Amino acid sequence: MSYTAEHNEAIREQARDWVLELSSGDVTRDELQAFQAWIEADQRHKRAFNESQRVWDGLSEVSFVDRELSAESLLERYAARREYIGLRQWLKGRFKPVVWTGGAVVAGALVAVFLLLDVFTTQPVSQAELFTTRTAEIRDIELDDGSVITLGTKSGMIVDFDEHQRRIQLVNGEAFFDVSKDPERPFVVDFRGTEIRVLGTRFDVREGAAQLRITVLDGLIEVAPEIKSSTTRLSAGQQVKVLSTGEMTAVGSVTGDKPGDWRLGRLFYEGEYLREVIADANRYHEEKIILMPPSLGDLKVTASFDTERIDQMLNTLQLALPIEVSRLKGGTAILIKQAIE
Amino acid sequence: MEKPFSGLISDLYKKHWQELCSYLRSRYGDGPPEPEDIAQSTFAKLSELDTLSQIDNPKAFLFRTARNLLIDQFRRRVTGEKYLVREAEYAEASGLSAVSGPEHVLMSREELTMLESALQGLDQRERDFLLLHRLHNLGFTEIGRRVGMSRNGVKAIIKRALEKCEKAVNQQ
Repeated sequence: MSYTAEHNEAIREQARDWVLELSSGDVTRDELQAFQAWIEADQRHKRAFNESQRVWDGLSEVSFVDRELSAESLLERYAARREYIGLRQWLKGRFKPVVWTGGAVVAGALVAVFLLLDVFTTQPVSQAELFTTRTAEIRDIELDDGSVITLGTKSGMIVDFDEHQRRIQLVNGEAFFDVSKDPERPFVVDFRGTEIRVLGTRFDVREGAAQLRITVLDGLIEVAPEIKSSTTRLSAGQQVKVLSTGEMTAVGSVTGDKPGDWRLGRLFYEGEYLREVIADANRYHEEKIILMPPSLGDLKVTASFDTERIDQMLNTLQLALPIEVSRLKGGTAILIKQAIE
Repeated sequence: MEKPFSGLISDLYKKHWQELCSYLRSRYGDGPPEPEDIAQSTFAKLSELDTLSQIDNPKAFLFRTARNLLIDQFRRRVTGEKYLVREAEYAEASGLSAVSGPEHVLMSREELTMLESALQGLDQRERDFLLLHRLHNLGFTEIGRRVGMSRNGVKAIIKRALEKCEKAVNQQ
């Protein structure tokens, strides 16, 4: 493709983006202004936009298959997928505060998850495939395009490939991506609205207590958090965190363990919040670890630990930080503030 | 000349006029287009609808219609589209050939036929999301919430559908 043709294609792509943003139902004043600036920047922008908009307008004049169906019956086709994701979020919200009250409830809920997974994977609507791991299980998944994803412990993702895009929806947990190059089919990782776009590279995505951490081992990726329309580029050795508020930290060098090193069974933290360390530990540990009060999570930790020896890690933390570990009968460990002697 | 508002409309008008104007103002500023103008056009548009009484949540419908109108007008002003499309629609409806500015010609019958066959070729999900958005007026975030996907995931799928449609129409 010549430079001009490529450039024109890029403009058409932006034009399409704007047509859809204006139609999205949640465009903001700032975005309208950005749109105006974009249109006024170049005559070709306006032309490309008008062409796209014309087709978009045309769509409301033609007859569709299924036009007679109600919105509800269309949505019904996606019910299984929605329920799986909804249930995950429900479990998350539900079991955080009351986790030590009973194993039976948790077991029941897990059975329900697996039943739903069954429904989900047999849905004809999409060829999407779901992969999950249990506590302390790590799994390599080889995909048709040659990419390999290492799915971390207690994690879940949906692989959704078609001829235009390789889309991964990381539902929870952590995954390391070794992506094959395919410029025709971008590789996109979506974690609750934050999108990471890739051509070919190795990088890591880790869900924490209050943040999403993205680190790059090599190559180049683009991160687009849900609340911002602009994207940020990350290259080898860099990391960025997306906070639960949707804000993104500035790009920095990787701190703590090297991207993907957790696959070797060791985690390393450098000045990390205790809450994030515990969130990770909880994914490797059958019995729940709780911070009491939660503000203990503000303590900063520099430490390294073996993912198979979380108990030992708790002992180390006890020595390094003003905290004490006490254990409930069910095995739940509670970290409390050390009493002043 | 404006038609007098009747029944449900005048009820909506009394209850929500102020709120609608300040909503538009707080969200999109003083304009242009001015919030009051948009509110006025919105009520005019609603009064032409026969089905208003069947709408579940007329207030939400009112606000959504107003927001769409505002964005449409903004778009037309910025792209220099003015009301040419409207004239073209009028011309077509009255059986005349559609005449409008060089950049804003409505799609011809032929192009619409091509568009229709492009729609047949879409994946089911692309078609479903287009329908939910264009026909049932669900926003991207709402579709995402209902199918368990992010807003941007929904947008990506609809964008791909639009791209396919554009290619089908422009191929000749």
